[in-house]
Amino acid sequence: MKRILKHPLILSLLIIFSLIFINQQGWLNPVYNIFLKSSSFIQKSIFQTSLKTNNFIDFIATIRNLKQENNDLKEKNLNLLGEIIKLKEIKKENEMLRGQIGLPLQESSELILTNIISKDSSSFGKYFLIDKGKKDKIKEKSIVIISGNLLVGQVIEVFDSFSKIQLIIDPSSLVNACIQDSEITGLIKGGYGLDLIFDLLPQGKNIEIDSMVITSGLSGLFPSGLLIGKIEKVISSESQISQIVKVKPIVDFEKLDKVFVIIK
Amino acid sequence: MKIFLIILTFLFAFILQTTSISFLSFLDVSPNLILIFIFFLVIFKDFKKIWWIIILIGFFMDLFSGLPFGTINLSLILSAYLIDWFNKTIFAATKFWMIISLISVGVFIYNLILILMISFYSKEFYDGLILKIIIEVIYNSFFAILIFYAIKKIFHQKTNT
Repeated sequence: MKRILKHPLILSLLIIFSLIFINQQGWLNPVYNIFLKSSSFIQKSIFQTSLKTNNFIDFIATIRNLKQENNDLKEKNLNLLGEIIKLKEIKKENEMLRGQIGLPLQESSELILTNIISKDSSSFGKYFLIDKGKKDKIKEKSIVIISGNLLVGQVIEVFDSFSKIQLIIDPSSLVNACIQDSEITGLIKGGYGLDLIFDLLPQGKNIEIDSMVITSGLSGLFPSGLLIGKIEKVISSESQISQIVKVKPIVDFEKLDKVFVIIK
Repeated sequence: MKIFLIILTFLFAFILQTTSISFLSFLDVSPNLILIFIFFLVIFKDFKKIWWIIILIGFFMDLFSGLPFGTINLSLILSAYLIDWFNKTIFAATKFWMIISLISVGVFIYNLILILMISFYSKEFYDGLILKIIIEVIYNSFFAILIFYAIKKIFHQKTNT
């Protein structure tokens, strides 16, 4: 018996299972906090430098198309300005009507700006570590977005000064979503690579390519109206029970360095 | 002193892995520096002498991963043990292509064990996984070749001086 226990593999497995047990009890959190606190500065610096270098290389690679892209963006910007003015008018009208029928005004949410300090250590999960935690009122299942109400993911683990966020492109992430301006609802799942899979869409409904996908707010976990992505193509056949669609996320997850956490 | 240097190298590789290595991703696969270093260590040293370093590094990798705690550590230790066994029984000679083949096999085994363990808690995991593993093996083998030549050059220069 003693000889078996002295075998390095058996000993290693015993230690790992003990660590799993200790972690489940939450006794490893102080170790995690200490390690993160001591390494966060280096991690943050290396991460930010790598991101800047990566962006610079991308910039060099796309320098030829810059003029065309600039013209396209100017045109898009003008269109968006028109949309904003229209939406402001609708908002005013909505507030006035709410006041007339006695409905309370919608509460605006409180956001915290956080920096991404590191990414997942395995290539199977899509997680980020951010530099704010319990001390900053962040709770588990808080929603993470970037400016423009674009959905990034949700907080799955909170430590004193750090939090782990699961991105919507992670294979185990599930988000209730719908196609904008239609009543078609389904479930957004992380797919292979950086794309998303829009599953459980009813068969027989017409799905238009390039339609916007937003959160439906059905489960109550994600607020409704957060932008997720654009429909790229239908990948299911007519013989399947439901339609499955590939969605291109609006957020470029490779270039994120700051995100907002909704705390209220 | 030697052990201290190994641990320091691993810690540096670990910080690189969680920060800048992800920017080298190709088809959503990024090289796994730590895995490559561990396999090099297993091939050139003995599993009996370094198993505790693997556990220590696996522990930190688990902390920085969103996967269930322990899955990376278990996959690391099991794949390292198998590579040590292959190294002693099948691939006895330590020639360049033998080392690279061993690392490729190691990366494949590591990913396979990891997927098997993840499949216990997630059924959504099997979309396009085989392709991902193949790319992972090729990409990591390529990096293993680069690291091998870098180490060879450094040590060659050291012995010359």
